[in-house]
Amino acid sequence: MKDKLLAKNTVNLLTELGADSADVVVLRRNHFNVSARSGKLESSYRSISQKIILRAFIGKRSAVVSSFDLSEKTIKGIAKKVVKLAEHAAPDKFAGLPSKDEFKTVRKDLNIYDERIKKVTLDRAFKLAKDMESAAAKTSKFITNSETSECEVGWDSFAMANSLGFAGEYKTSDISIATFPIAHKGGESYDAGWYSMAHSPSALDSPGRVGRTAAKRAVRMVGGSQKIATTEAPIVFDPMIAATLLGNLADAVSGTLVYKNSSFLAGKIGKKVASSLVNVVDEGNMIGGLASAPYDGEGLPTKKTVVIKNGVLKSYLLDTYSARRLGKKGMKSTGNSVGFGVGPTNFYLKPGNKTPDEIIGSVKSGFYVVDLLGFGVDLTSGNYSQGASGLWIQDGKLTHPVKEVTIAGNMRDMFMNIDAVGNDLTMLGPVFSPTIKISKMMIGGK
Amino acid sequence: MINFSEHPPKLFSDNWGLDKKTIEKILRTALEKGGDFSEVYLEYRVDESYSLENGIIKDVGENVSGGVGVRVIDGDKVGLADSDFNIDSILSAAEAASYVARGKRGEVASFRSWKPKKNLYLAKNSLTLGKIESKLNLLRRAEAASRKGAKNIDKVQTNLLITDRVILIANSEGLFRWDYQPMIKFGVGVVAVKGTKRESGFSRGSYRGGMEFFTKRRPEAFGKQAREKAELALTATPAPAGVMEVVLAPGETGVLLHEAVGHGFEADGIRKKTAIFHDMLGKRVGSDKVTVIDDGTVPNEWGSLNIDDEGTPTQKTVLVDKGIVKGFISDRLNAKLLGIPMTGNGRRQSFAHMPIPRMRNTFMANGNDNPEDIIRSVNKGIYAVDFAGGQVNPTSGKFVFSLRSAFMIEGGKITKPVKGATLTGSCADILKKVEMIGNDFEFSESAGTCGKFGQWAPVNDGTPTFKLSEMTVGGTG
Repeated sequence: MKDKLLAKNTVNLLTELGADSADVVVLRRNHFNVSARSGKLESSYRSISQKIILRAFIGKRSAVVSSFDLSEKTIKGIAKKVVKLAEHAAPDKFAGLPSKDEFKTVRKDLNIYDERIKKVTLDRAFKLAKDMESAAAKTSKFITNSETSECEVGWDSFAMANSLGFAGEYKTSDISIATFPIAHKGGESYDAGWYSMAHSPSALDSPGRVGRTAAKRAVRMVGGSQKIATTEAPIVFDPMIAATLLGNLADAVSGTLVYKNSSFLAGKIGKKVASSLVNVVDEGNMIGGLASAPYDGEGLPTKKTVVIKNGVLKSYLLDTYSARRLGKKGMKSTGNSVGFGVGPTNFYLKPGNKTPDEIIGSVKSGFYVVDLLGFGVDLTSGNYSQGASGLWIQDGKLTHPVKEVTIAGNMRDMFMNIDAVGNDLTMLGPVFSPTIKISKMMIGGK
Repeated sequence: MINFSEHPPKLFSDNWGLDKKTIEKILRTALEKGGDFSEVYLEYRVDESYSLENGIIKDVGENVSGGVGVRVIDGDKVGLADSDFNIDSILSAAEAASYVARGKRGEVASFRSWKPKKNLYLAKNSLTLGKIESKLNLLRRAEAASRKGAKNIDKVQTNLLITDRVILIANSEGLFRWDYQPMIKFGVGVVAVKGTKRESGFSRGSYRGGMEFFTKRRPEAFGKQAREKAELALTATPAPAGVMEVVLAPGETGVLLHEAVGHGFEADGIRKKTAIFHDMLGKRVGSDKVTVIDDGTVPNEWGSLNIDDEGTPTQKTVLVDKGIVKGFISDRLNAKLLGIPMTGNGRRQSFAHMPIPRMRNTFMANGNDNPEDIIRSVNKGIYAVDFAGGQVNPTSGKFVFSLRSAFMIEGGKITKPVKGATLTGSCADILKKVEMIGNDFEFSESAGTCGKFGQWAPVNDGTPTFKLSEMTVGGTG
């Protein structure tokens, strides 16, 4: 409550100092992390922080100043600073707050805050970390080491006010557990991580299951690795890796990138950009969604946006600025502002009706990717070239591990060539996906 | 208004009452439950950012951050808690950090006197005192140069980030040291179009120091280079796929050493026996032409530091000496646990992050070959020039290196430009594949940022021209 009041009062101060319009955000973060290794405590980390972000408009000129210090003296100082800086910015006819009628009352029961988060002790976090590690070690004799095993717990608050009279606040709670066992066999080592993330301690996956999953993913990648010849072949992406492709897509449909003409999907609304099996949604108001919030960084209500329907691009993800820049009639913010541009919320590919086994079973000769390495994704041209490891598929079955290869293509083609979508939609993070198969990509091998 | 030219101990004492006596109290409080070492890290930082997009000054902003990190070490366990500058919060953080302590309580020694040595990044004129308009003009000059004489430019974005950062480090062993770190980042991104094709080109630079940076590297040069790269990319054809010879141009391709070698030499992975080189001290990993160094003492370079974030002076550390594994790069904790020297590589993104071993300026030393001979020796291969990013898994020992642009080498000559592709290789044998090393060493001009365990560290890389007998190239052609 007091942060909302602080935000309101600071907006008033900015108006008094000469701003024509303004918004203020107050953030608080409280989190701790405990890690274990070899059955013992390895590290503990606790952080308490706050931040105030002031945005001021003088006509169509604007500036942003933020500070960690919420004292009255500092806020007075940065309020003067932001007004002064705004005078130096050039007028930008697209800049400004959203229009007043875009602000609405929002459904607040998103299940993103569980008061019980504050009852999780450091000791309990340590036990969760230890239990994952020991479950992993028990899974196989080939698990010989651990990178680390950790539990992270946090609760945050977000308060905002603007000169249009909007004011709001909400809280979130988060807990995650992750473990990274290392398998060693036949002279090869491999670390595979697995994890669980949730808003509530009661919604976490069990440490036993997380540990066992991580161990199996590590063990299957050691012993008997073979190099493969350079070839074009079908590629199956497990949900964790498919989610990275969805992440690339989320970036490519970001209004901030599109209005700058820096995305390969610029100018493609209404056009087919993916196969008919592809349906992608961004849902900021998903109940319990990992990235859910009642409003976005500008205070606008979050919503569900159909991004791709049956392969046709329906909408970009927009904030007020990018919507205005793109200038199409009726184009409005989709509630995806992160304060300084656009970001996805809960962004996912809708599941299909094939099981992952059926998808793998349909491949005569191809590559099942479980890990990607590198930053070889060019959103402007669509060029895609990444290091990869995984398992070779032969006659519908997973066979030997393959490492030190690359997979390459262009995203324009890759999404069009998705010819199978699994029914195993897995919410491992805010951007998530089922298993998918791309009919062909170039594998760089020997 | 904090004055960064103030003597750092006085700056923290005058503004927030954090004098020697108070800091000593925090160090003692942290050790109340036991533990053999405690540390207090104070930081205050201002970042100013400006961006110009297609002629419009788009973003003008400033961020102020600061706080205190209290750390406790008990054997191999580390506890950290952060706080703002309020003394009650700091003492509460000291208590929280002691969660890891179970053993005998360590002593707090009196602070030893210390004088900073040679300043690697003396700012010749302080950026933050400069007028805003003169900073904005740097952006305008870069954009104008990128558009001059070109008709096919669709977008130009220019960014300037100026940072003033002051740190003070004190620990229970009597260490009391400080550093003022001015930093500049400048970059231009251009999108050029031809028909339906659109390609981007970037030119970036990072510098520790002041405005003299823009006399050494004029904004016009950034603008022109970004446009040339975008235009080159428009003419590029798909890179081939498969194994082939690779020649790396001098400078930023040195990131290959950072990924393929450097990360594997960080002492945490060595101590945990998770990194591929953990049992390789004294063993041969490459030909005797190959020497790889991590150096924190190069003036103004992005990866340089007067002292690391634990107060240890930096040095020039030889990782691989004529093909033999010579030494690892370490922070305090891992050096003590391994019984190796502290090398001044204990770094942290901020007071709110754990210090861990990180690289500084990592590079391959000059060789004796003529760069032209190196190109001539290749029948069919790739000439790697412009780098986009790299990554390594030191446990599995695989690394990648993504190129934004490259050229084919055919019959000993550089021929057509090809699109970016990712190259992949194996840390264990990459140095064995170095066949020729040129005598034209350069540091990268577009120094970047290294990410590890959720923390970012400013680093740089460098290399002379060198040739690898083979690497897997991830093209589509």
